[in-house]
Amino acid sequence: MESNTANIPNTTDLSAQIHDLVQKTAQYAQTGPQITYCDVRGVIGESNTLSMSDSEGKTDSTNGIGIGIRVLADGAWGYTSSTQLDAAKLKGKVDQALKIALGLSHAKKDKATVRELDPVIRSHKTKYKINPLEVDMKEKHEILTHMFDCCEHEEIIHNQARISAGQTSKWFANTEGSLIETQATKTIISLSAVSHRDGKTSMNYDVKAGIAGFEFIKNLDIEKFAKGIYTKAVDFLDAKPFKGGAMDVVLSPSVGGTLVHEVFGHAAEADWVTNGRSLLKDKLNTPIGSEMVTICDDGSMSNSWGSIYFDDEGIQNKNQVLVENGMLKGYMHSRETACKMGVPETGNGRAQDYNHRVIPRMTNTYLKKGDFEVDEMIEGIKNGIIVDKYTCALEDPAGGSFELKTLGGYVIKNGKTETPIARTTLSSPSFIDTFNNIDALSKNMSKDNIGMCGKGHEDWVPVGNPSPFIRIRNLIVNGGDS
Amino acid sequence: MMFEEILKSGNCEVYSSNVRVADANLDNDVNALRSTNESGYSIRVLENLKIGNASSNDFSVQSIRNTLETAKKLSGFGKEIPKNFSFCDTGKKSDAKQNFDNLLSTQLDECCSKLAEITLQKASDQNVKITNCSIKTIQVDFRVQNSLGIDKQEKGTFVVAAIDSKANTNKPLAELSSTFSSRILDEKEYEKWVSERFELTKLFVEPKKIESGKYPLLIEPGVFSPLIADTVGYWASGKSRVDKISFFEGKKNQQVFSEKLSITDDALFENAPSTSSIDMEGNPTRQTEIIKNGTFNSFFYDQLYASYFDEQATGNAKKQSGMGGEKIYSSSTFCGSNNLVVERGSHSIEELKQDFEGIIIEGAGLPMADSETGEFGFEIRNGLLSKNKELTPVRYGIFAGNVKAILNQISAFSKERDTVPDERTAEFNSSCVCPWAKLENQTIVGGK
Repeated sequence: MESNTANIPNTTDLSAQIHDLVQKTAQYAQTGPQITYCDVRGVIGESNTLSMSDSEGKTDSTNGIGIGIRVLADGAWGYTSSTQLDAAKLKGKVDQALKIALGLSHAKKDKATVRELDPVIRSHKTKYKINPLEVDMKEKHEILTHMFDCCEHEEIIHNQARISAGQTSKWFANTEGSLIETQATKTIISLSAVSHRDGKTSMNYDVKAGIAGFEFIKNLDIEKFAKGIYTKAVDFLDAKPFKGGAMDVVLSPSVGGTLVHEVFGHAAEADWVTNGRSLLKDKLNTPIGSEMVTICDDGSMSNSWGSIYFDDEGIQNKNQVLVENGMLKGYMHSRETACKMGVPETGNGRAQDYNHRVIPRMTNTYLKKGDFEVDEMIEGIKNGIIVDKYTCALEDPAGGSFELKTLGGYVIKNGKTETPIARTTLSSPSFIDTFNNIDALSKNMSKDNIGMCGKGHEDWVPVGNPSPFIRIRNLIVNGGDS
Repeated sequence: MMFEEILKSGNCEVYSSNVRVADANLDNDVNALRSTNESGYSIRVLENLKIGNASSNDFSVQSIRNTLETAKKLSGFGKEIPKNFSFCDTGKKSDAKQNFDNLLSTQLDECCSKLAEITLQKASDQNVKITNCSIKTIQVDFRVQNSLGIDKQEKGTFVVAAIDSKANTNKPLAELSSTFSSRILDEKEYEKWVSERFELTKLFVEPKKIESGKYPLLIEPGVFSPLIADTVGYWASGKSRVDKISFFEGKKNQQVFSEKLSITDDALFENAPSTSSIDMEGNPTRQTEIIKNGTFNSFFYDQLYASYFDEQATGNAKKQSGMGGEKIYSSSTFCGSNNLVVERGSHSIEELKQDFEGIIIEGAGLPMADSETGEFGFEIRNGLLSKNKELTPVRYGIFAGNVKAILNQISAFSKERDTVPDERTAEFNSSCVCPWAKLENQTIVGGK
């Protein structure tokens, strides 16, 4: 973990102003006799993006400020926000949030509460060598152009690529006296390529993203990255639909990481445990998978896309073992759910932005690696597939199912890869059966699998899903062959 | 007039928005209510046939000047666009009447709370559990000004509810996901809808595993419409034409789908999410007939993509509120569909269900299609196997294929239609107004 803990410096006028306002607004809330708890989150965000396709070059830049206020009163939460840095208006927003909370409390059956914690005064800024916002657009333009040059192929009909850079500074203060400043710098590069031959179209894409400076892209082998994408886009033109059914599957780290996130991770978010949505309710210290299955969530991983260090409730996130050798050991908590279940806070209370709600969320959730070579995993399959990349996925914590869409891979017959496949949809009636059917994990794992995770219908946060290759017996597979 | 100075200074366009949101989060209990408000603006400049875009939520004079300078600087790295491109210069130049201060956030909060109360009450009355629910009442006010003298404004009210619910039992079941979208704050309309959805929820207890095989399918609008929006809505866009990836390229006046299929991009459709008198460049909106009786008719355009083909813009400049509608101003302008309205059929859904033997799909996992290829695949989560006049709940089956194929295999559409917002966001976002669709002889890979 790259950490820089010190007294909070006031580096710029705007930073100093927000720092001051956040602190004073929380202090004002301390004087409200009806307020059980209040926290104030100030954000300054800045980002820029250069995106290019064969037909278009687009440049975007955005910056914004905002302060979100959350009040707990009589067991209910009220949220308000403002983009105006005005102390009097922010006090008014505290009063408004209190009014909302009290207005809701009459309808609230199960009163929310949080455990009182000692104040935390900390600062954490992710380290970087090159500020990606300050890198000349010309340099970024050259990188994208070089990627396009690498993709030149008669069967590639369209390319789209982008480089995005962002920096978010956050200030957190609460009525317990905590004051935390964090800053995260992000760098993203992506490329998609569309291929076409004889009336058949296919595509491939990849995204690399990290909590890192521009050195993240400088250290990337751009040519290898681009060629890997377009070569597969062309290869997918040879892919054929295949007859589906129940079969054995080897999941790449991209698909495997997403499976763990969707199938297990959401069900282990404690708000869905406490409200009875999750099938993991009442399963602590019981087996939920094969002994190979050990799953952790770690928001402190260096440079990883889902790293947060401190959550949006001011709790430090650390590596947490959720499943150990197949036994469920814990859930991911916000302050409210930790208090409700009588367990320590885990630092998983996250919000999309200053004006969004704080709820239990994953950070970097991963299945620990095993000791198999990928070839050995394939050799152990008589009739099945290996899938390459996830495109999207959906959880089903109440029903125990899941849905995973993948792109690329091969049919496996008698331990050998055969025909290439394109789009595949995977599912299973029971995720506990799925975890029990894991019988091989690869020696190597990849940290590259990242995404934006929505919960329910909104609340998008960045997450990382590092994973080894995973072999699972007996999944439902549809390969599009009718 | 805070943007007057920069509008005079060069060839540029300013889009500004104010979004107020009241958002109630529920499960079996009311968890929280958010009341938020964000204003912001984006500045798009055209310099040397290149476009740059920058946005901010800081309305200070200095910030506006800085944002303009950033947009100008960035424009140097854009690609050269056609010489005949210009910002919107059509229709009445100005109809902007007021600034963003006349919206009633207390009304939004009150309405949102009321809808939350109705939801909890109905769940209790009907013995249904809500596992996740967000109810939003939203007001959006946006304004487009440009150096050519355009100054136009549009406002909208939106109600969106997304509910996951399940029967109140410990038996194995499937949750039902439901989305309500309206432009009117009408509690009675909402109450009727939520009551119907909760009744439906109770059907999906102890679902049987679907057996692999061929089935006729009757697909509800919320499941069918994303397949249309992801493909037809993409292929009909002028951008897909320029990118050379449109399935419709070179197919004007050709039969591409079943004769039963007609689709119009209609920004004037009553009470739909994307309904607006102007688009986000200030162009007047209209109806564009994309498919008529299976024959491809026309593409739709914003100013940029119209300029590639010497066409007129069709009012399809969009901004995507995407991950939180409050920041709609920060989205760059793109060419997208408004409300894709699929022509209704001649039979009611009750008539279609009457002698139907097959799977009625009331809910699915992720009914999405790949825009480039048309391929799709999703899990049937809320299926009802209709056989010998009996309905059995079924799930654990995957329906996969290609939208190009299934749009040629439609055997019937229902008279009734639902409005389905794109990605469950509503604020002037794309939507699809879609009937139930009947397909024959489709392969399902099941869990049995």
